[in-house]
Amino acid sequence: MIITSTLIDYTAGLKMGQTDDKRKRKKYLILSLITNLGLLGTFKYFNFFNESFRALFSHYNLMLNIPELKVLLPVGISFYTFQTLSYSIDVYRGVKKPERHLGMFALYVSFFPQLVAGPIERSTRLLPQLFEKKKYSYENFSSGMKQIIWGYFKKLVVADRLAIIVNSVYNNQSEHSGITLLLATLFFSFQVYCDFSAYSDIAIGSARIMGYDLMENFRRPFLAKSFPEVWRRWHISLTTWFKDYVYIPMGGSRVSQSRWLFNVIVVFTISGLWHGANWTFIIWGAIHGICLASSRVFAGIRQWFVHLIRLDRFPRFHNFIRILITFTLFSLLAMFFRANSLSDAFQIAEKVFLLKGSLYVAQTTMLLYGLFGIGFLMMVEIKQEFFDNKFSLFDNRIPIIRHLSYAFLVLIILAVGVFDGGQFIYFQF
Amino acid sequence: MAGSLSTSNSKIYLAYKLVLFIVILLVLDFIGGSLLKYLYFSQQSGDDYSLNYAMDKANEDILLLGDSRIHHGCIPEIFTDILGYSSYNAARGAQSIIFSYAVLSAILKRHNPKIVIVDMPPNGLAKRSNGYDKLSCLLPYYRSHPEIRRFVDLRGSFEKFKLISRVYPFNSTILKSLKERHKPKKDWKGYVPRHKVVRPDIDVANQPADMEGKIIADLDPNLVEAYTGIITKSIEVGAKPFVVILPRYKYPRAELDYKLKSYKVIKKIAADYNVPFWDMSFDTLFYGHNEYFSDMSHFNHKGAQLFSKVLAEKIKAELGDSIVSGNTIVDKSLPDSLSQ
Repeated sequence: MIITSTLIDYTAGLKMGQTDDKRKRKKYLILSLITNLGLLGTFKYFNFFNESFRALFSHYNLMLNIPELKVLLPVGISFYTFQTLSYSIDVYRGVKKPERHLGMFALYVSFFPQLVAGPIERSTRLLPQLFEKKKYSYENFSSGMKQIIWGYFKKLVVADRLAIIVNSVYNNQSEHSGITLLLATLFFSFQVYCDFSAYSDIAIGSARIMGYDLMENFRRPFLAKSFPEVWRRWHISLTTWFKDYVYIPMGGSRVSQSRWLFNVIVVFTISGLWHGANWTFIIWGAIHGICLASSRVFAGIRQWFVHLIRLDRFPRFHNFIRILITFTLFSLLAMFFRANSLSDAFQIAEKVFLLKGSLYVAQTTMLLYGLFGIGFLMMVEIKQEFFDNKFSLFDNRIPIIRHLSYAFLVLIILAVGVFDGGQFIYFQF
Repeated sequence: MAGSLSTSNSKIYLAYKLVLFIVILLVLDFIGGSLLKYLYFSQQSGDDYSLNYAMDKANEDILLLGDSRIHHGCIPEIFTDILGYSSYNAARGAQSIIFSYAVLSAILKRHNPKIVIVDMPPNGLAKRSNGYDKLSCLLPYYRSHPEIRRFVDLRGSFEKFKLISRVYPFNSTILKSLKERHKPKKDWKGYVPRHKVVRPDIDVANQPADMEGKIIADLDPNLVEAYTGIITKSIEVGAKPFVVILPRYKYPRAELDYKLKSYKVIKKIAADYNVPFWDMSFDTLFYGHNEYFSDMSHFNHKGAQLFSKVLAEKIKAELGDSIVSGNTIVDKSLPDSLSQ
């Protein structure tokens, strides 16, 4: 699979570079698009669409007898397909010169630290680095190791701990009350953030140790003050990919308001589908698109209301409220991302909004470990966001304090991390 | 700083920094590990306290081994009253038979019991989806009990490296240690009572039971070895083993139970060593009587009292005179390979 993608895109790139005829260049781009999206569609989406159409047909008493495709989903297919596609599109646009060295191009597609779960790197950024002679650097080694340790903290102390609680609730959602499901949903948003950003941290850290600079993929998304800002901080490599290769070619924001609304919702719906072959992901993406669009449409009313209740007189408190609302909304939508099926998602949503019943906690210690992980994480992120030069432990000028801080972090991982070999969530994408 | 150094000097600088970091880490690890160890071993009640007792102190004549069903289902005091032997419940929830074998191995290093009662769930020898994760409760004993190391090593090839740390063996124990230390509960010699009564109208169909999957599930050779090991080691030291399948309240698609590959092997191994095998899953005294159960498969305290009495009487009848004389109980049908 990955070899096919690599060879087709390498050849398409070379061919595009050999001609100035736009029609011929387009042909090779279409070849690349069909190959990559075809492979992705076959392996990841065939059964989903087949099943959906079968259900639709049977609703009208019609039979659709296309057999199910029994294949394993290649690990990381969504990531390397998008990475190699960005190369073809960039070459077509003339932003990137075709790569002649097959080995280097193959290395770009399969660069191991980020191969299975991103960040989705652009050829303009990563390919030139592959040709550079790498020298050992203490700074790179040190900062790479620190980022890896943070990644392990997020994964083992926060994500995998919360996963135990979230899975036990979501896998038996019919047995749980609204308040328990609400807590599990809030925990899930931390789980998915820590799980995914942990992988990115480990990938970026590993690459940096070898001298390669990968793009930042998450920038404290739970401290965003609005929905558009969340998406400038969350899965940055995917968001910018969709912006550059789907949203802007559709006209971006330089179109009429109704067309812009359409563009945003379509882009986010596709982004939802990218995450997984299930209606839950599509709905999740579409609602995010609607929220993002609403954020701009109702900006005026929002400002008028803030002025009316004089919240703008207290900018810090106003920002705090904005962060809280954005986080709550973003987290609540995560229920569509986590639910096992669409019907489950709607049942959970109903229970959460009615908030019936009492909180059920199977193991208090599990909850406390989870809260400790979230608390520690948020403390560090709030410090990084708002008090960059104050209260530094991990970036302290005195080396021994830095060493002690990181040693303490390793001890926390060993003392309260979950070591049961849990996989990364984004490996399934 | 290091940016202005030449590459070779920078490497020396890195080596110096790494050594410094590792030294700090080791010192903190030692201090943290010692503190956690102290907290862990000073618990006054709970699962870890019972495990600690079983591993280092248990010298009772009757040992009860297994998972949560026997843990909440057999009261040692009743066995003592009826059989006249001291007894201890060394079972633990969510554990496989490997855990029981590890605990028995530790006990046999210093003490020979007279009776070993093992609860085996019908699918107890089938491969588990979570592998050997639950054996993490044995980590605190890795250094002090070499006989259990091979069981702990099943958790993964990196386990040995993780165990260089003094903190890691006590992973996720701190809150429980603090709780059991400051608010100890009554010690029932390992037994933990449950007081809930299962709803009589509980929907059996809702119970997860992937029986078809379990029937064909591959056996785990390590579980088979552990089960066989419990029987053979018990016989070797002159103890009489009993294999029991505990009663349940209700059981969906019960007829499939007897088709399990695991069930057949459990029964066969017991028969090979002439060990009493009592499948009490559907004992009419208990089956369908919700007043004795806290859920579908676990006794409540009332059920545990009655079941302990029934099982102890059954063992008494099986042993006959050897109970009265108090002599060591030797199984005459010991296979040749073990009696040499």
